[in-house]
Amino acid sequence: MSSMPEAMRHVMRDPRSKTLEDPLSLVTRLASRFRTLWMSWTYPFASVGGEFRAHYTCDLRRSIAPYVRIGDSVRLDRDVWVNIPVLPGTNEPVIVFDEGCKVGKRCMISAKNRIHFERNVVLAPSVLVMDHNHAFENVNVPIKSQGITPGGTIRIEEGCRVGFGAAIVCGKGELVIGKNSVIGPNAVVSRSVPPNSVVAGNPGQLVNDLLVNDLPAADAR
Amino acid sequence: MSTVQQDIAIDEASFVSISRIATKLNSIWLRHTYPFAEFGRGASVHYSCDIGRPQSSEICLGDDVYLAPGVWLDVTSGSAGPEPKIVIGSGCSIGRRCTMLARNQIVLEVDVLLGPSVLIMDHDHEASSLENPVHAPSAVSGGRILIERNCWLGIGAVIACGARDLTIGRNSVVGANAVVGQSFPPFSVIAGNPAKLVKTYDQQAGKWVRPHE
Repeated sequence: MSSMPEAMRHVMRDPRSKTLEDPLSLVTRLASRFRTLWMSWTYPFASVGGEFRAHYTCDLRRSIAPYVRIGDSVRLDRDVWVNIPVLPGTNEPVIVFDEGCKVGKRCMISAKNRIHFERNVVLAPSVLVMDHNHAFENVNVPIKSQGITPGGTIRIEEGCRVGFGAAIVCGKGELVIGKNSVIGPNAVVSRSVPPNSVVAGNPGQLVNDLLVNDLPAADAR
Repeated sequence: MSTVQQDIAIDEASFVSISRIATKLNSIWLRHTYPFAEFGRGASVHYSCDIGRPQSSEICLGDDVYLAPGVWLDVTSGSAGPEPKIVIGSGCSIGRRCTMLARNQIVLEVDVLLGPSVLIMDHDHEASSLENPVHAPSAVSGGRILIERNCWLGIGAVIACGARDLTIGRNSVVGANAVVGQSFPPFSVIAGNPAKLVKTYDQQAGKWVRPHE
């Protein structure tokens, strides 16, 4: 137990009393605020909306910024990695976050062709979204030197939620997660999903009764 | 040659000790300035852990609890009641990047071992009403989660309950990346997504056996 004075502990342990934030957390909040402003002002984003918030640990290189479009109120949490492995020849944006998207801690978004998050998509922590893959066909060459596959495009429609640790990977063609769908935790999705569906498991399967039963699509807040 | 190696060894040791000192200072800071329901003797919280000070009055850490780097403990606002919402018993070891989100109550009994990237969440968000956008945060009620003593959860496991209470019995093992949405009895080995019972402990034979044998 703590060596705090007894009277003080009593005051602080009352669950109804309002506890102030840790003053030390101001440092990280200021750092995140500064990083966001710095990114908004100096990075050559395709476009960046108001109230964009990025945590200071976000990994988003300046060189990919022209291919990233960020809408209003987009939020990137701690340790998010937004990556474009090969810069495209065109001026089309490759990664698009529409208004109100939230990307949870440690998410990794890697796009070669196009990944589009429509309005109000929520990614829980540790989600992987990737529209290409490593090429591995040649057995005589190390996989790391074989480059990446042509891949496809991913569109996650309005209001979708992706659960903790899920992976959305697209080998080829277009992968669409329909409007208001829910992807369960640790699911692996590599095919398109119709609107208003619930997908869980590995490989991801439609399980529409999950909404009221045992397995929730655990997600970020 | 040997002196160079020695120098490197000393350098690395000093960096490690910087991290250790930061963690020690963080634990002392938390113990003395955060209103934890309990902060056990010898509990160690890595400096990169994310625990909100307003939420800490609902969190109870037992003796010798270890929270590895990047652990995130959070209690949803709106939860009422005097009892703590996250209880981590003595001797528990929480792996890197573990996330525990409580609305009702999450209890880890003594000596529970969590691998890295485990998620424990005792509620869900309302998804059944299509008019209601996800962003309007309306958490469904959920239940309580109890993980009994001496359990071991593998890397990436998800323990989440949507509607009712969930208990994982003592000495159970949850496999890597398993997604557990229902209760399991003591002495179970659980794996898969969704999780299934893989093995159970036979008390007479004194060994782990497949459940149908």
